[in-house]
Amino acid sequence: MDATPPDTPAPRGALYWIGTAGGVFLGGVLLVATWAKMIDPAAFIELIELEHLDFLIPAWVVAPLGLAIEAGLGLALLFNMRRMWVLLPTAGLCLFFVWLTGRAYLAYLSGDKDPASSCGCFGNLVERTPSEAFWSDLLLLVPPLILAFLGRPKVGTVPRLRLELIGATVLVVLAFTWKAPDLPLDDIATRLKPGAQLDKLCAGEGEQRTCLDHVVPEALEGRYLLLLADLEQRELRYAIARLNELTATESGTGLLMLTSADPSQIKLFKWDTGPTFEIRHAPATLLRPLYRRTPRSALVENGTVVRTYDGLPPSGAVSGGDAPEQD
Amino acid sequence: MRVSRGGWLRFAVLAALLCAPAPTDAAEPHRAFRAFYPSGEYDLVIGQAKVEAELLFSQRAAAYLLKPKGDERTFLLLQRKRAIATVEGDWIRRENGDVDLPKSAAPQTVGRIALSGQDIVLRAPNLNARLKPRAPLLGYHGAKAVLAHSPQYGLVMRGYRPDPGALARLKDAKDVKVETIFGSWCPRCQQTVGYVLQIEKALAAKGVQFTYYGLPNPPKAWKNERFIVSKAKALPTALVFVNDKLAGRIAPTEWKGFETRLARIVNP
Repeated sequence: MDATPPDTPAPRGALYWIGTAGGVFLGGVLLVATWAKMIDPAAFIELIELEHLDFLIPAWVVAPLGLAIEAGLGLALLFNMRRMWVLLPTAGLCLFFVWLTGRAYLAYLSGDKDPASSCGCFGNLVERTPSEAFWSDLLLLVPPLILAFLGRPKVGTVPRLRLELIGATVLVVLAFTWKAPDLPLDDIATRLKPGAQLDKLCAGEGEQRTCLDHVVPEALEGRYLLLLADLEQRELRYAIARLNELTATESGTGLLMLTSADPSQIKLFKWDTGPTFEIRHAPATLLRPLYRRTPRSALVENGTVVRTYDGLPPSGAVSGGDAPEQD
Repeated sequence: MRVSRGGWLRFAVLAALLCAPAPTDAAEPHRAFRAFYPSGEYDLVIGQAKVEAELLFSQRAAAYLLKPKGDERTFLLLQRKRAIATVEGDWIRRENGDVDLPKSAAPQTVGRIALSGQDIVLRAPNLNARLKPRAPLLGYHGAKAVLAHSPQYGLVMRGYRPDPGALARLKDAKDVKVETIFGSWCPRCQQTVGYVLQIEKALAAKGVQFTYYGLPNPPKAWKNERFIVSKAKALPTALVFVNDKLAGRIAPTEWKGFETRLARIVNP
């Protein structure tokens, strides 16, 4: 039980309830944004580097720090702790998010940013173009922030129990973030999940919007294994022989490796490893939201993802068979 | 028991047939080295000079077949082993234009492959050569230039049978321009641009004009002005103009049955 007396509300009129609703809503938004980033910390670190927010301290330090602040403020607002020492940092954080997305939106309008690049406080989980990111951040963060300042309760003593609860939760958030890459969360953290349709996995805006079915149109019919890969990864090189065995079967399941490497890198990779399946280039902006780490694979039937695999497809993904020999 | 002279003769012939070594089936394809198709990825360079050669690639075998003009030998370039082998026997040409090596090909390793930048260096007795990546086809071109850039386009073209009904609907078309935006580096384009070449051939001298616009390698391709202005989402994409006005686009997902989609755009 909270040992401190609860904040004594000024007469609990309409402003108090409007302010409470605004604060709770904003707290919820911050917590959802925290969740979206903590399940894919690698993407969050990439985002920090992309936005050059690691100019003072390394991105891997900025990331947990940012998550701790965001989660702490979100929880405080959810607990209706609308003190100035909560609201002012929250205002700073919200304005920072709006500034970030606004900067990206301006860059996009002036043609300096790829329209396919997603950004903002929701990580890879939500597909947002620069304009969508700016407007949704502005609308989701600023109005509830203003409302949260209304009808604030009179300041009482420090709510120690709630602070302890927030502190403990923040520690859990950090521990979870640390372990998240090893947890089976790919289907939750990315857009490539069972039931997803290739023509709905897209990047970009308007008429330049490109979707995965444009890159692998053949996968709209029949069974295909799609393997998202980074050609620089050493473990991938060692796995090519096993992948070749998969393609040697007569199961009718095709294997296509997708990478954002350019065609000349693909050519050299082929001379290095000798894959017996096709390696296809796809824009990084289209591929990045589909994995937390590479390699990742998905079994697709008639254009719909039916199964995903963390890593390379297992031997059982298609029935067994012999690999062609090179002797 | 006495055996007649004719009986001995029949017995001798039968025994000779049974004991004779079974004739090898030269037409039987090799288990691993098959499904080679013409490749336009590389040029063969010996010293500083480009040398005419037949180059085929098999995805299934992860290997190239190289036959330099004027050289008796056929080289098998094994990607995984980075080895050069010579092979025996005649190629088996399939109906679809693919080539299989015969079962009796008996590859003999004779040399090594090394990588030098983007070049593939081939070192074997009497073969000191390089495979240099062919520069991508850039800008506007006609069918002739596309076909000359890579023999794979011609192979796909010859194998494609357009729907006669859709072609009939296009025969009276006037002032129609089809611009295919593609990348000669893009495998999907190599596999499908031949469809349009075949349709162009089938509609020869009619009111449909075809052009092909080649993009540079990514990521430059995605920043290419023509690609941006065309609002193509992926490659290959065809833009269809009627009376110089953009009437529609044919996306990679609609490439199967290209002529049907084209007829629908031209005659809505």
